[in-house]
Amino acid sequence: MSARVVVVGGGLAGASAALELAREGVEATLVRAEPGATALGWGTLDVAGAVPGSRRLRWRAPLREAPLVGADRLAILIGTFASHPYARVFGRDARSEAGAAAERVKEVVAALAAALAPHGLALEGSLDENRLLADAHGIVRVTDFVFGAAAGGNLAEVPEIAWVSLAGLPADPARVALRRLAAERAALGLTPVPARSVELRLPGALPLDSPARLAAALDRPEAFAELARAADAARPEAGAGRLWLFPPVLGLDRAAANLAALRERLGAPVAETLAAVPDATPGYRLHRALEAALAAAGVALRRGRVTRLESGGGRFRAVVFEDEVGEPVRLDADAVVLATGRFIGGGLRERGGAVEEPILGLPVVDGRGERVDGRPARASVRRRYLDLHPLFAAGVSSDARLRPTTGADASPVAPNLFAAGDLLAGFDPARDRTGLGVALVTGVVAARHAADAAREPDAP
Amino acid sequence: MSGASPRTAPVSSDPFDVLVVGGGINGAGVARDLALRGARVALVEKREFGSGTSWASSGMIHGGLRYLQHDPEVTLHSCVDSGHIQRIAPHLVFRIPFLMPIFPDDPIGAEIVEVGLEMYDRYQPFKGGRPHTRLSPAQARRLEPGLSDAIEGAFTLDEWGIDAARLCAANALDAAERGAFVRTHTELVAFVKDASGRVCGARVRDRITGEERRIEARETLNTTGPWVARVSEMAGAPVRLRPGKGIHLVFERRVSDLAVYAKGIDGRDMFTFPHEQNSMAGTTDDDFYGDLDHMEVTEDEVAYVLQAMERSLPGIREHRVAHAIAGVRPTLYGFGSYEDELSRDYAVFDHGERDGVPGFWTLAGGKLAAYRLMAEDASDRLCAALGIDAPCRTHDTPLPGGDAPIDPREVSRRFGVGLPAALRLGFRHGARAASLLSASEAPARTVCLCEPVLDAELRHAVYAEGLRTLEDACLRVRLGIGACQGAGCGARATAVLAEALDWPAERAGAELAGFVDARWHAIAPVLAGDHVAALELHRAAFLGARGFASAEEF
Repeated sequence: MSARVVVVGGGLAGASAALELAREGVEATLVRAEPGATALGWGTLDVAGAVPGSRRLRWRAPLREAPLVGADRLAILIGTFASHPYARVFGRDARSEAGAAAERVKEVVAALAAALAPHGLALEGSLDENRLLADAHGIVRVTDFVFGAAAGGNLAEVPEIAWVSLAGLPADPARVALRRLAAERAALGLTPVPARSVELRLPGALPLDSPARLAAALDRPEAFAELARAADAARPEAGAGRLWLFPPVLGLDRAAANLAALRERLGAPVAETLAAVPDATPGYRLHRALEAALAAAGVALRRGRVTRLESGGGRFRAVVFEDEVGEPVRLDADAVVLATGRFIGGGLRERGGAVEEPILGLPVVDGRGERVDGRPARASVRRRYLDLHPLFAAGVSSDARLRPTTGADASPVAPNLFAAGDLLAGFDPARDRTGLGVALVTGVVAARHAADAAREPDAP
Repeated sequence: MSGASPRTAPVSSDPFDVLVVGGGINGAGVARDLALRGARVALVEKREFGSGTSWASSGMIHGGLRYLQHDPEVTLHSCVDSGHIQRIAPHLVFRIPFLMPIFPDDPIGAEIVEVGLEMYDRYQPFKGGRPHTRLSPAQARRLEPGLSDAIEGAFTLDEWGIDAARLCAANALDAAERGAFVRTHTELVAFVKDASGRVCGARVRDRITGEERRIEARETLNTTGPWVARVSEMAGAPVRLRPGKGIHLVFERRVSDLAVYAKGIDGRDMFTFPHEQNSMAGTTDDDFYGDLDHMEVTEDEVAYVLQAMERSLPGIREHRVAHAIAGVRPTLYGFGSYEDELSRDYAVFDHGERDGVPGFWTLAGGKLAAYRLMAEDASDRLCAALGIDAPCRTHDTPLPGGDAPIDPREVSRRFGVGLPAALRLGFRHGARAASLLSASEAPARTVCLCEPVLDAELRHAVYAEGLRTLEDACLRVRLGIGACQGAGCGARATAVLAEALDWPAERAGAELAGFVDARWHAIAPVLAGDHVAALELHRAAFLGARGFASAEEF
C-alpha cells in the first residue's frame, strides 16, 4: 500500500504541497473549504517581495544604478529576518549561500509554471530581472514573477501605453491613474512617455458593478465579441504600436484566449494591469487553474472543513472533515500537511476574545515570538496603521522540517505533522509581499518531508 | 491685541455681524438661523462639520425619555423640536421603534415603568410618535427573536434617528447658500480685541493651506462643544464644563430590527439601535479629564457596553463590531452625584454682561435633539444685541433637499444607478439627488459598496459642499465606515477626490494614509473575531502595492 498524505487547505501552499506529493508518487488527498487568501491575489508571485529600506524603499532607490533583483532581495530577507519561513527553510547561513536558495526557488517556480500552463494560466518572470507592472491605480510594482494576462505589461520593455478604461466600471478616473503612473515612472527613473487614455463603452447588458463579475461574463464568446468590437473601433484613439493596458477583466477561464484574440485583432501588444485588492480577478484565476492542475496530477480533491485529527502511537493517523452536507468523513493519513492560512483562510481565528489554531489548538506565536493563543487579537496590535503589528506576523512556530512545534521546548508536536504557507509564524505578508512565495516554497518543502515521514511510518 | 500680522488679510472689508467659531450642530444651527434672518455670518470649523460631539452622538432626535424624571423641560424641548426637524429635513430622519424589555430583577417593575411611559405618551404627538404598547414575552420575542428568554414583558415606544454629521453639514451648507462665509479646517488662532477690550473677531488659520486671515465681526460666538472651556479661556471669559465621555460601538450591519434597551452593570440605561445601514450600541457616560483632540476608546468601555447589551440580546457578541466612536458631551458644570443625572440643558452666555468681555458669547451644553431651539435662543439674543429684529424661520424653512419628496425608483431608472444607491443618495441629499446625478456627464460609478457612495456624490460634495479631505467624506457621505472600513473604497475615493480637487500624487498619497490611519484608530479598540480576517485583507489592499511602506511614501 502506498503512503497516504492528507493536505488541509486549497490555497497555493496546499496546492503546491499536493502537486509535489503527486510528483513524489505519494497518494495525496487535498481537503479544502472556501477559497482563501490565494484567491484574493492581485496577479504577481512576489517570491522575494519587498525588503525594508530606510527613507526610500530599498528595491526602488537603487534601481537606477544597481538594480536590486529578486535574488538579492531574497538574500536580504533571509539575512534580516531570522524568524521568516525562508530563513527556516533555507537555513540561517543562506546569506552566504544565497545563490543556492535562489536556484531552489527557480526550480519550484518552474515546476508550478509547468503545472499551470496546460490550464490556461502562464507564470512568467525571473529572479534575476525585475518586471515593472502597473496596477489598476497606476502604481508601478516591481516584481519577479507574474501570472497570465498581466505578464505582457512590463513597462521596462514597452513604455508607450494606451490606458483602457471601461465606462461605468468602478475604477480610478483615467486622468488620475495616468498622472500617478507618470509620477511613479519618474521616481523609477524611466523615460517619461506620455500615455494615452482610451475609454470603451460596453453594451448595458454586461455587469459593470465589479471587475470580477465582468471577467466572468467575458468568458462568454458573444460578450467578449462586444468588447473586442469596442476596442477595435477605438484603434485610432489608441494610436499604433502602443501597449494596450486593460483593467483585469478579460475573462476568468478564457482570459488567455481572449488576450490572444485581442492582440491579433488590434495588431498591438495587449496586457492587463495588476488588480487592486480586493478586486481580485487574477487571484480567482489562479485558484481555478490550481484546482484544474491538482485534478490533472491525480490529487484527490475533497471539499469540507477539517474538524480534527485522530492520533495514535505518537502520530497522527487520520483527518476528519465535515463534508458539504455536514457529514463527518474520515481519511486515513500517514502524514498531514496543514496549509490552512491565517485569519482569511481560517487557519487562525479569534473566538471569545482568544486567538486559536482551530483544528489542533496549536501554540500560536506573534511577530515578537510571544504566545498569543488564548489572548485577544487586540493585545498584539499597535496604535498606528503603519506600525509593525505583531498580530499580522502570527502563526504556528515550526522546526527546520516545517513541523509545528510546542511552545515550551520547541519540539515537534508530532513526527508526521507539517505546516506550510501563511499559517507559519514569523513574517508579515502584507508588508514584505512574500505570501505567495512562502506558500509555494514551504508547500514543496513540507510535502517532501511529509512524503519521507509517510513512507517510514514507524520512524521516530 | 489689535492689528494683524502682515500675512493676515481680512476676509472682507466690512465686518461680519457674527463670527461663529465651531461647526458642530450648535454652530451650524446658529449660523443657519442668523443667515435666514439676514445677518452676515462667518462660520469656521477646525476640522469637518460635526466631527466632534455631534458625530459621536447617538444620532437621535429623541424626546429624552431619560430626562423626564429629572428635567421634564428638556424632554418637552426635545419633543417639540423633533417635530420641527422632521418637517424641515424629512429625508434625513428615520423612525426607530424601541423595545424596552422588563426583567424580573429590574429595580423598577413594569407597572412603574408604564406610568413613566404614559407620561411620555403625552409628549409623543409633538414628534409624530406613537403611544407605547405593552407586550408579553412571547409578543416581544416575535418582534425581536434575539431577546433574552429571561424577560417577563416589554414595552415599545417611538423615537427618531438622524444622520448627525449630515445634519450639521446641511445647516452649514444652507447658511453658505444664504450668503454666510463658511470654512472647514480653519482653526482659531486668537481672538482680536479692540482698544476698549471688545472682542471684534478672530485670527484664524487654514490647517490645509497654512494661510492665516483675520475675520472681523461685531459679535463672536463660541460654539465649540467640549472645547468651549478652552476657547472661552482664550477670550478671557472662562466657562466651566463637566465633560462626559461617551462611546458607541458600530456593528457592520443591523443586528436587530428594533432598538433594544439594555442596562449597564451599574444600572444605567443604554441601547442597541438600528441606525442607517448599521446598528449602534451605547453609550457610556464617564467624567473626562483627558485630551479632547486625542480620544481613545478603551477596552473597559467596550466590555462594559457589550456586557450591558448581552443581558437583553444574549447573541450580541456573535455580531461583528466594525468600529467604535468616542466623543465628549459638553455638559454644563455641576457637582452632580452621578453624571447621568446632570442636566442636558444648555446656556447662552453674554460675556460682556457676565465677565466684562463685550462682543463675545458662548452657547454651551445641550443635546442634538434640541439643537434648533438652542440655536433660535442664541440667535434671538445675538440679534437683539445687533438690532436685527427678523424672526426665527428655521422651524418651517426646509434644509437643503428637504423641500420636496424624491422617488428613489425614478432616480434609479433615470440615471441608471442601483436602487440601494438611489435610496441612500435620497436619504442624504433629499430632493437634490436628481440634480446631483444630472450634473455628472459620465455615468455614476459606485465608489463605496458598503454604503453605497457614488463618484458623482463625492464630486458634488467637493463642488457644491466644499468638501476638502478624504477623511471628511466619512462624515459627509459615510464613505468607508461600513463593513470593510475603506478596504474597497479608500483608493478609489482618493482618485475621485484627487481629480476633483486637483491633488498632486503626493497629496493624494498623504490623504489616503490619513484616511487609513483614522479608520485604524476607530477599528483597533474593537478588533475581534472575524474582523481580524477583514483587517488582513484591508492591509493587503493598502500595503500590497508598497510592501514595506513608510508613512512618507505610502
